Amino acid sequence: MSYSQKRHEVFSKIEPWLYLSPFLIFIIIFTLYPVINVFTISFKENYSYLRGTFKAINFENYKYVLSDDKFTSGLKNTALYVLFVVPVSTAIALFFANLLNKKVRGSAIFQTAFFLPMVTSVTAVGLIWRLMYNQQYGIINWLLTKFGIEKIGWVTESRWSLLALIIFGTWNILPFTIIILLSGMQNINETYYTVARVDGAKPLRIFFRITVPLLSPTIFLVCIVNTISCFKVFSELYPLFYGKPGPYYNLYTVVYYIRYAMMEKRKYGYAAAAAVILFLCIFVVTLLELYLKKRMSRKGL
Amino acid sequence: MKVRIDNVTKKFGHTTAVSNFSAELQDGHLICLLGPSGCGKSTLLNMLCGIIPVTEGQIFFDDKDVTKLPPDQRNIGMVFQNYALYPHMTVAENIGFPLEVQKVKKEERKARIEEIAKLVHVDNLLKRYPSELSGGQQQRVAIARAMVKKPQLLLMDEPLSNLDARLRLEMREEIRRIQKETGVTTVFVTHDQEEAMSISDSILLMKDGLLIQSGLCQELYVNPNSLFVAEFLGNPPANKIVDGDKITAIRPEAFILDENGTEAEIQFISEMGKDQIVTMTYLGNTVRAILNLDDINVGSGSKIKVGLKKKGVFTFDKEGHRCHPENDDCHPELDSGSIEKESR
Repeated sequence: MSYSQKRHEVFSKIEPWLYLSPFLIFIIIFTLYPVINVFTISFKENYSYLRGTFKAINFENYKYVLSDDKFTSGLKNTALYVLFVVPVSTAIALFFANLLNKKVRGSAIFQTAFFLPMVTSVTAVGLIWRLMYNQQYGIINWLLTKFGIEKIGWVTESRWSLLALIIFGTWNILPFTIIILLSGMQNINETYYTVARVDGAKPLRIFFRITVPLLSPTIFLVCIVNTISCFKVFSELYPLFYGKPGPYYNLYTVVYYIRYAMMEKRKYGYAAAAAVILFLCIFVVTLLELYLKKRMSRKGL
Repeated sequence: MKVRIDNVTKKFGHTTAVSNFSAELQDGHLICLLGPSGCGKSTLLNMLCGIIPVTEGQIFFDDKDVTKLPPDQRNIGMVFQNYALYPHMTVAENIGFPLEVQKVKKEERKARIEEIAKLVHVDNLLKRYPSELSGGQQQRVAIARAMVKKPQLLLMDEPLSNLDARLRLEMREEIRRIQKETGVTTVFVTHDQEEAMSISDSILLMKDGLLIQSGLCQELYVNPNSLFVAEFLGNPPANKIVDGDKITAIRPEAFILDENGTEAEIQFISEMGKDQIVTMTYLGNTVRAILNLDDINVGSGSKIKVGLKKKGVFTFDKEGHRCHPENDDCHPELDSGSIEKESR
C-alpha cells in the first residue's frame, strides 16, 4: 500500500483508541456496565434478573428500602462505624507512625510487625478476633478481669456488638493508615525539625505544631480513603458473628443489607437502590472532605 | 560575643570531616567560613550550633565552655540554605515561633516580631504565607526568625546559594547591613570566594577539614600563605606557572603592558566592563590577565609585551608552600606544615 495523506489522517485518529482499547474494554464490561445497570435496576419495580422483566419504572425500591428498619438501622450503624473508626484509627496511626519514623535500632522489625495485618486475610483474622472476644475464654476478657472488670459478651450481647466491630475494624485498618502516614512523614524535610530544635521546641510541640500540620495533606488523603472503605464495612462483620449481622440480627450495615436483599430476599431492585444510596452517602461525605481540604490548602501545603 | 574554637576535630566513622581546628572569632565580626565543597565548613558550623556533636576539642562562647550544650541552650540563631520556613504558618507566626517556644507573652511577642520585621524590611508581609513570598523575601523572614530571640551568635549556612545572581548581590548587602545594625557576631558559610570577600570582616579558609589561613579578607588576598589560598581567592583565578621546583602564582591584575617586558601572544580577549580579560600565551603557559588595551590596537594573534607588578606575584615551593618574597630560596612558613599536597 502506498502512502496517502487521507489514510494517514484516519489512522492517526484511530491510533490512540487502539492503545486504550485493552483497558477500556475491561473497564466498560466489568465496571461501567454494572454501574449503569445498578442505577437502572434501582428504578425498576419488581425486577427479575433472570427474565429481565419489571413492572414499572418508579421510586418504589427506594421507598421500600428507606422504610425498611433493617436498612435504616444499617445506615445508622454504618455511620457510627465510620464516625468512630476513621478518627480513632487516624489518631492511633499518627502516634505509631511518629514512633516508627524515629530511627531506632530494630525499627524494621516493628514496621514488619505493624504491617502484618495488611497481608493477612480479614476473614481468618476475624475468626481469631471472635476467639479473643470469647466471653469465657477470650484473651480480652481475661485481660479485663485483671483490671477488675466483669467479663463482657462482646460478640454474644447486642449492646456490645457494635463496639466489638469498631475495635476490630480499627485494628484492621491501622496498618494501611500507618503506612500512608509514615511515608508522608518521611517526606517532611529534616531541616524543619532542626530549626525547631535549635529554637528549643520540645517533642510534643514539634509533633503538634510542625509534624501534624505538614502532614495534613496525607492525613486528609488517608481519611478520605478510610471513610470510603469504612462505609463499605462488611468483611469485618461477616466472620465476627459467623455470617450473621450481629448476635441478634441487630448489627446490619449498608453493605450487609445489600447482600441480604440480593442473596436472601432475592430482590435485586432493593439491593440496587441501597447501593445507590450508599454511593450518594460516600459521594457527599467525600465532597465535604475535599471542600475542607481546599479551604485549608491556601497555605501551600 | 567572642567565640573560641579549640582544637576541634569531627570524625564520622573513619573519615575526618574537621581536623584539629583552632580559631578565635572576634566579637561583632562577620566571619566567613570559606572553602571548596566538602571541606568541612558546614560540619564546623553545625558543631558551633550544636546539631552535630564534637568528637574532640572544645568550643567556648566568651569564656563559657559550650561544647556539650544542646543547641537551644547556646542562644544562637541559624539560617539554613533552604530557609526552612514553616509553610503552614504566616510570616508573623514563623518569626514568632522561637518566642512561642520560650513562652514569651503574646503582646511582647507581637512587639518583638514587628521590631525585627522592620529591621529586615518584611513588616508589610507579616500576614502572608511563605509560598506567597519571593526567594529574597523568604530569606529575610528566615533571618528575622533567627534574630528574633536576640541571639549572641548568628549562623548562616550558604544562605545566598538559592537566590539568583541579582538577588544574591542585594541580599549580600542586606545581610551586611543587618549584621552591622545589630552588631551580632555572625558566622557565614560559603564556597563563593567573591561573596566571602565582599561581605566579611575576616575569613577562615578551609580545605579538607583543615584551617589553611585565617585573617582579614585583604590580608589573605595580598599575602596568601600557600598556593591553594592564592588560587582560591580572586576572580579570574591566579595563574599558575610551574618552573622546575618553583611555582609562581600571578594574579591577572599583576600584568602590565611594558615595552621592556616579556613577549606574549594574545589568544582571545573578553570584555569585562572597563577592562579586558586577555587570554594569552606567556612563557609557554596559557594565562589570563586583566589589561587595559584601549590605547593599543590589538586582536587575537597579536603579540604584546607585558611585565609584572611586584604586588600579586607569589612564589611557592613544589609542595605549594609560600616562599618568602624577600629571598628566592624556598623554605616553608612555620605554620604551613598542615597544608595538603597540591595535587593539580
